[in-house]
Amino acid sequence: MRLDKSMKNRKKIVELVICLFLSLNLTACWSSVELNKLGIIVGVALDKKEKADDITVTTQIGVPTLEKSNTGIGSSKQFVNIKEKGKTVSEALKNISREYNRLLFFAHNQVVIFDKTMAYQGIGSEIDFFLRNRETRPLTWILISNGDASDILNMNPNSREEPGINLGKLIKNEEYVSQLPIVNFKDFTTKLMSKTTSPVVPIIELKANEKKEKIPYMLKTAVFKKDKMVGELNESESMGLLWGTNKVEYGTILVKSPSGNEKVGVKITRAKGKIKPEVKDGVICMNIIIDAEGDILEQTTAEDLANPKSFKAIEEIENAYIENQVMQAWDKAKAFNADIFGFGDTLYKFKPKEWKKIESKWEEEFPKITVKAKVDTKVRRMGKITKPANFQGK
Amino acid sequence: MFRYLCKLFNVKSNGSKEKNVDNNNSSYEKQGNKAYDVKLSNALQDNINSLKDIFGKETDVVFREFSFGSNKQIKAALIYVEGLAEKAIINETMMKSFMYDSSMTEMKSIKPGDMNYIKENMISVANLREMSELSEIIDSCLSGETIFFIDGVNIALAIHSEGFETRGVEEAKTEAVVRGPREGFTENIQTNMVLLRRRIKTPNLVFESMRIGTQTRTSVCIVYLRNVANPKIVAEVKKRISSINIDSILESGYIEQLIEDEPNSIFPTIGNSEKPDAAASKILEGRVCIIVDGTPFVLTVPMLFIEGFQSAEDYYSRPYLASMIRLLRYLCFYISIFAPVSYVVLSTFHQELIPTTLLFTMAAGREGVPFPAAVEAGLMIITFEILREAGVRLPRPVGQAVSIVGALVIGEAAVSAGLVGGLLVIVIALTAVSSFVVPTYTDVVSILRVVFLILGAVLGIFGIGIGVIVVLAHAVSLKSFGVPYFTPLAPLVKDDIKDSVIRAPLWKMNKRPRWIGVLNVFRQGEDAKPDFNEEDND
Repeated sequence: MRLDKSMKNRKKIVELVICLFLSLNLTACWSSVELNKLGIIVGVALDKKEKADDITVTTQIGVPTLEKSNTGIGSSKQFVNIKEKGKTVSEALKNISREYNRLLFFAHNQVVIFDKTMAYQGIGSEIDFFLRNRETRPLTWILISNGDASDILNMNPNSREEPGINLGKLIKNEEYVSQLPIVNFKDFTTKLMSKTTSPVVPIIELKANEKKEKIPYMLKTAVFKKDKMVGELNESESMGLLWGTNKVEYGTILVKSPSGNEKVGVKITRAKGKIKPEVKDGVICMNIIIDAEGDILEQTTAEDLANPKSFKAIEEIENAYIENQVMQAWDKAKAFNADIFGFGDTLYKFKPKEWKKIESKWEEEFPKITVKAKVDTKVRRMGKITKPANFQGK
Repeated sequence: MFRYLCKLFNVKSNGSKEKNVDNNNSSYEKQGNKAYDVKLSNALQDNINSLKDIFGKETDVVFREFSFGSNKQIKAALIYVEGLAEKAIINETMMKSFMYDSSMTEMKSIKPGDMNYIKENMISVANLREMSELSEIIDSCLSGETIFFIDGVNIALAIHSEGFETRGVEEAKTEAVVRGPREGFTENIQTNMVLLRRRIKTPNLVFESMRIGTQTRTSVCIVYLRNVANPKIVAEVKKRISSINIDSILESGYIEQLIEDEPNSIFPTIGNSEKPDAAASKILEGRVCIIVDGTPFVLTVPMLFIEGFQSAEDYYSRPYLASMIRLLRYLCFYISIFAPVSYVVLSTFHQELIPTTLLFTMAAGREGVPFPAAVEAGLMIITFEILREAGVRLPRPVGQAVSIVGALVIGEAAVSAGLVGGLLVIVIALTAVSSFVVPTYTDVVSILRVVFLILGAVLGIFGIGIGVIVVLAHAVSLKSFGVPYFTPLAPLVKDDIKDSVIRAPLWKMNKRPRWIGVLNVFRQGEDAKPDFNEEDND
């Protein structure tokens, strides 16, 4: 009798365990995708002709190839670019899967390139896909292309990497040279969501090198007003923007030598930019305070700069140079009426009362802001040598 | 976990056990030699006859009857097992003194039945015992002792004369060390007891012997320190061992499986060692050792989870590297369970977690592989287990051939044949090597690896999570002889952390493990740290 009962219980447990294991099968490896059924996207380019209905989406899919050590370099093409049209990004992607036999996988996408014509028409509706999708990352870089965006993804990379990955590294490298702002979806969207601040995006274009090959080249900065592009900043203005927004990390600047005609290169080792708002009698004044330290990187003069007097002179030249860059950027911002420095947000943060007063008429108030740049630079070191090799004095 | 399920379904596991005993084993009783529980009689011939009855005709037991005394007035007999007893001892110490010396000297005074005189004056052997029960006599005779009877006394003498061939003390095969004693236990229980006694020379070291196995009558010896070991644990060990009811004990594994706390668990709750120094250190911490005749593997109880990560050499080398190596062992434990499943899970569910460059390398390896990653990993794991098993069982010269073939099959060939990806080979190789770093848990790891692979392949990283929760919940619920299996980690014993994840300096380890060495907590003085600065010496 007792035996029967325990047998029943044991049977129950066995049944439960079997049920548990069988129920595992019901999920059928849900959401699992084998690596070789995955199309790993490394770059996306979006093009939209003027007044066109459709956008063209070009996806660059990396083709994994085993590296054979003894074969030639760069002989095989490691990527495929697939171009499709659609009313929206997702529709174009849907069309891509009509011709490409793998599942598109966005998690490793390095860069999204918008064509300049499209940027002028506004990119707000297109970036939604990249923000909403579970796979896409907010840290994907954004670029604006001068010319067709799909061409950028087509260009011959100067390394063995896929152009998309190459672009991602190119942008990442900007961080160390501090010449152009680098922008990902997160940065772009934060600025877009702000009431006043204008997003900026670096511009990339194709430049022919001496072999007549097109190579990507980053030169300018696109200025947006809301989600529409309104203009460009050139090299020097971009640098001014970086100084003002505390984005300069390292990098070099080239200034005139104290004596006049020759040049001195300074390598920045530490830099800090801060905006201090000031309101007096209804006049808004923005003090851009910049501190920077640097070493002498090169000098074209034969004079001996290794003395406090020369340092002082170089520092002053440097100050004027940086101030000029900042003011140039401000002039452009004023011209576009685009708050690229984020003055509106600064005011909102530090002077909330004043901000409330002018909030409604910000568009008119913005160009009236006086901007002062206070630059304090220091030259710290001479480098490996002190006097130049061609120094003739004692 | 299992216990919880049992509770859920109202299973009285005790009830079912009882019942089994009732139904199946009722016909099986503890027989053994207890069946011959008869006192000796005074008459020599009666005793010999009853023994001859018991041993039967076709036997290796030798009955040597003779008479001695100056008038050959005393009848006597020697009984021993051919080959087990050392003939030289019998000849030299017994036959000679009885048959030669007794006739030479004044032996008239010896009366038949004067056993005490004989014991005190005639047998020149160090170790002898008096016996009066037939069962005792059978046991000792079959263990190699020589039994001496004389007429007219209901007492026999068991003379220590074991002299059979045994393997000498050799280097331990399983726990090799670079620094530390090389000696290993042998198959002979006497030798093993000596090896322990030579390390712990205190009267508090207790050897308690018993015989288990109705057919094999195997000697089993419990060893512990009287003033250190937890008496509850000692009592529990004795209780469990005495409750063993089995015909044979051929290895300590038999005992282990019959007295462990959780027979259904994959975790071992009884440790074993082949090295006397390791066993001695466990005894000194307050553990109980169980030596079983016929095997060099000595059991140690209670066993904690962390013991698997300790090696004798940790304590012989200086603490810095020892601590690092110990951390490495924990790492290897996790690698050997989780490496294959991580590969599968990352490459089929969570590709976004892999760095882009590595992803392309992995994808390139997967290109053209016909099976899903889980099947691929499963195949490789099975291949590895086959090779391991083949390598262990085969004689050494053939084993080398297996390992060469294995290296080729697992490595180059499988990849170039397109059967598996290159990265997986590295993962499996790492897994395999890691699993040998913690030899105690090699079998645990091998099982868990497969379980986790299935869970991971089906449910992704959630599967691993679920598996970890279940396994951990089970493991922390285990107890080994009343001691929580996961101490000092759970429940946390701060003092004992010094010898768990890391190995603290010797002079810092003042206390014995809290749950184990309860009787005598301190193992050394508080100020054990060496400090021989000049100022102090002045």
